[in-house]
Amino acid sequence: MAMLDPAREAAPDPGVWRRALANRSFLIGLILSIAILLAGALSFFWTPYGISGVNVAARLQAPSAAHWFGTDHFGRDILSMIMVGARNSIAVALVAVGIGMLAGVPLGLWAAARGGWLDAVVMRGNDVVFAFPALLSAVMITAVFGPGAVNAIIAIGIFNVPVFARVARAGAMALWPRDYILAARAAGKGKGRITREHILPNIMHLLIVQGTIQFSLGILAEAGLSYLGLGAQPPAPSWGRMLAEAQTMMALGPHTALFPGLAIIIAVLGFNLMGDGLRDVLDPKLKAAR
Amino acid sequence: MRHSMSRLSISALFLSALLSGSALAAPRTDIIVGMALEPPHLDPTAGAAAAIDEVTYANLFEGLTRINAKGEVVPGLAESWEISPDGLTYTFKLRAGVKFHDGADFTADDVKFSIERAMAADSTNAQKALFDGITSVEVVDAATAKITLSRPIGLLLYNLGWGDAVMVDPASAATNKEKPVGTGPFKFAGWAKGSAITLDKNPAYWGTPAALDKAEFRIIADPAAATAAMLSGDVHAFANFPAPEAVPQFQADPRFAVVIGQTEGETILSTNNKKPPFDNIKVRQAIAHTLDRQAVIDGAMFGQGTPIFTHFPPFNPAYVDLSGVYPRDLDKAKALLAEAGFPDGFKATIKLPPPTYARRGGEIIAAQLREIGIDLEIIPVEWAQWLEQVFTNKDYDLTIVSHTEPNDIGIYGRKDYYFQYASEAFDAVMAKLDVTADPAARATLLGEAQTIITNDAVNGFIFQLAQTGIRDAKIEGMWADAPIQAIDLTAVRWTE
Amino acid sequence: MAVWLASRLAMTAATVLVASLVVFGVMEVLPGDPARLMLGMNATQDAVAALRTQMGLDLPLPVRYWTWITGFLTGDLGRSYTYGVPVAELVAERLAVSLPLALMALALSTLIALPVGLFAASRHGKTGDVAMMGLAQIGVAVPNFWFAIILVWLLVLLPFQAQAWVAQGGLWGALATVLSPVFAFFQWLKLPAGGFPGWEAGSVAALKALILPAIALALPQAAILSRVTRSALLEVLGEDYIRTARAKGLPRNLVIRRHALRNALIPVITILGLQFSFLIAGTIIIENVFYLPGLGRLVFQAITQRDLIVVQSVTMLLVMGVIVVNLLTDVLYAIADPRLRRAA
Repeated sequence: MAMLDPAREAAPDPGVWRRALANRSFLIGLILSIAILLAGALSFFWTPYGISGVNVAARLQAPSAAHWFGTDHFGRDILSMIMVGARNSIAVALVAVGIGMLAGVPLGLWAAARGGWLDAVVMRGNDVVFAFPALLSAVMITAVFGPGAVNAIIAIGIFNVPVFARVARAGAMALWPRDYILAARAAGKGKGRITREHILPNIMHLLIVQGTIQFSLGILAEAGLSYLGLGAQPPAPSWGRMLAEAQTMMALGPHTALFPGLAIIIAVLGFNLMGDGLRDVLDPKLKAAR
Repeated sequence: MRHSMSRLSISALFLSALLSGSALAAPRTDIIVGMALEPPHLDPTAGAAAAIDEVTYANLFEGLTRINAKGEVVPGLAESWEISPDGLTYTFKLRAGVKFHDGADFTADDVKFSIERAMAADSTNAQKALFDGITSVEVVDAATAKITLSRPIGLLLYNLGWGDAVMVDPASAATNKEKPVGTGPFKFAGWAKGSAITLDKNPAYWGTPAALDKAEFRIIADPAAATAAMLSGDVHAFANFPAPEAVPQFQADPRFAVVIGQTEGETILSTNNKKPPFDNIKVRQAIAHTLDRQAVIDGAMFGQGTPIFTHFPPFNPAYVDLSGVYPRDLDKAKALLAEAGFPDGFKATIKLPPPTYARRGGEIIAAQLREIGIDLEIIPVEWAQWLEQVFTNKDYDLTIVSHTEPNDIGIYGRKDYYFQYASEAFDAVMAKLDVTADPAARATLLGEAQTIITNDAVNGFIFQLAQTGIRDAKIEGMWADAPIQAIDLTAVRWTE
Repeated sequence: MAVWLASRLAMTAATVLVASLVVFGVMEVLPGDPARLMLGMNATQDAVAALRTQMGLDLPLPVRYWTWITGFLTGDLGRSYTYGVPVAELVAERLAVSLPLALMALALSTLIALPVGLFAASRHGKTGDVAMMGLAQIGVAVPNFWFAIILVWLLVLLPFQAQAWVAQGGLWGALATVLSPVFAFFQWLKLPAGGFPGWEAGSVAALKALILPAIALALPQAAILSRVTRSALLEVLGEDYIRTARAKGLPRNLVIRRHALRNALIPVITILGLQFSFLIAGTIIIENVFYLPGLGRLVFQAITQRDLIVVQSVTMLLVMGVIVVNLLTDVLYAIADPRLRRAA
């Protein structure tokens, strides 16, 4: 955050895209992420096979020209299941990040602007949430509200709140003593308005990078919860549950576990790489350290 | 001194070589039996979990009567009994010389204590209904106990053979959950929570001693781990293997013997008979016409299980074949739905407890019902929620559950049972059955009862749960079927 | 420093208190009656009521909280509803699995991560660095439970199935024949695919049961840690005294080993502390994959069985563990970094 000039800080950098695309991590990440997003989007209109029917005769077929990724224990096409499952993973991760941002960022900004006891309360609240191993709490949340995609979103979203609150607060705290902020205050602008007009735009890049990382963590967390049977419920396919079902079929059809696992890895890897690349591009100081 | 030392050690060496040689020749006397679920505790008189009975029944605890491998009632701790002509008094002659594992003698006082404890107001017995109708238990003398009933109970001897009716010692009853003390041929040796329960042979057993010196129940819930444990020989047998999909692999391997046995588990699509639209018999009949039982058995259980068409095990002599009442006929089903006022079908929910038969079976049944326009939302629940929401509060449309208690057709006559079914005709048959002791007459009445619930299409009857026994081929004496929840090791031995 | 420490301790105590209220509150709203669950479908209503009284479930809310928390603080964690034994005893039994597992995973991940990070930093920007960091990126993305499933398949199931392939012939048969010594080795090794024989079965058998879970648990940790090690090293390498050492003509590798590594360890240790919470989450899921009777599986099982007192006490213990580790990390950090100490 070596930026000083408010005008330049706030204005979008026209070179960002070019620089981002020149960044190898970002480019690879972008391609992988787009592949997953496209697979999910395509599944709204077309999948190689339907995924609702049960066809016992065709079960546990190895990968072939007809079924690229083989079939599962109900005879369903695994490629089709993965495509539809992508929607679930993306939706859960996206909404969870949204919850984290919408609740966490205002909280962090508010704490930074007001300081004092409010700041202390928000930060201690964060400590309490952080003290709970996330997965354990998610298991408890789904035990209370019942398993399902919506409750998985809530469980994951809650743990995004303190993450974004911290990032927003730290970013804002670093900006408040800046000259141009002090100047704005001297000019009589209120704290709320300064936060809206000067702080938020200037921490946006931090939030975007964190958002990408939380998105990929969200995909992993969703997979973990569905693996434990607490995520999206059948017949809606989810990558984690496909793995849970595949686990007992390993002796008969290892491909049933292989492909959903690879899908998770590609999605997480894609968004992680994108986040890393973005950080390099948007945060020159960190880049120098690398 | 030195000389004698070395001689001693040489002879010790020789002896140990001899011993190990003979150990190779004689059959093994230890066994490790795998089980999928760990019992919460080991007191069969204070819990419903099947795993409790599997470890303790016949092995640790015994009742006045017992159920054998074929499901027949045979003498247990009572060597004989007399029934008064009015069927209201049972006089049990107890075996002599029976001792609890802690050395206490088993007498008629223990009979009185055990049964009264199970019946008491503060009793936590999971099958308290078994003792309904008993008015008193008297000690005639140390070796004779008399049970008096308020009405004849045709099934009393059978009921007393349940794991929930075993004999316990007043001195140890309170601690049986942790340290079970019974009269069986094995005694409790140790429990490493989460991994294994070990039993030792009871040298002071009153009857035929067990062939095994040591038995271990190893808890392996994961099907993949169970497969690997069997393949590698870490576990010698599973009374009920948790992964039906792995069975062909074992059937093809001569090292193993696979026995697909029967259980008392009627797996049914339980239906809330008071909740619209399921209160309409036409809707229930439409479902009955839609069910493809074999597809469920193949898809969920990899072919293991027998289709059923009523709530009764097909291997029971009193079973009647009702497969022709509602044959699979989608057009008929759609017509019935239309008659009921749902030409385009409707939406409903199905709550599925954790077992494979329910979770996988539920997905298949949902797909089948979609064919006639019934769109089911699948709601998986843990047992705790199932018991609260479905079983206690009747807050459900459909659910899948296996009713594993033997001879349980009477539940259809229970007021306020979760099926929410009421039929005067059925109740009348049950009332007659209760006071009938003659086997042939009982069979006729049971047949009538089966027909009534099938005609009323109370529930979707799907299949009889199979028991997949897999064991080392050198082991014999394990039960093939599961007429009652038990892994009876009393006759188990290695052949080499 | 003393003031800082005191206020930090007070904050920690407050966090623990709030956390205990949260844990207790969640238990209260958890649907499902533990008494009904224990007695099952055929139990009569009065049998369930009797059990509820026996378990103390009918006492008023504040009384139960007070009984629990005072007991908890004096080391009495209550008595499990399902097992009927003191929770402390269960926890001790389960720790005998979870602790060695976590330590093995921690050791394994450190043993992998430090050399990898060191190697990558010393080849900064070169092919070796890029390859290692690429692998680390993938490692971070691999779900540990998937890795566990694949490990079990490769090392436990496959060796036993391969014989059938050899018999079948063909391409797979040929491959299986070539690999047969490897399969034979793993057949002989007999790694369990899950379950735990208990320490009484001997330490070899017990450790064998923990190997695959530890590997599965360690991989993502190692990936994260190696990235941290590398960037910490690079940061230190950019500092003046290192430049000076380099300027004196000392070879780069020597500089890394002698000067940079020790200083880079501070952030690495900090990350290790922060990873504790992730490690707990990891053990929950990995113990479930391998059906290990550890603390994580105990909590998970207890939740489904509505053994509320176990969930309550064990969750509280884990939460306190995280809080204490965070506190220790902070304190260590303050000791290591005088600037921070003075500022505070």
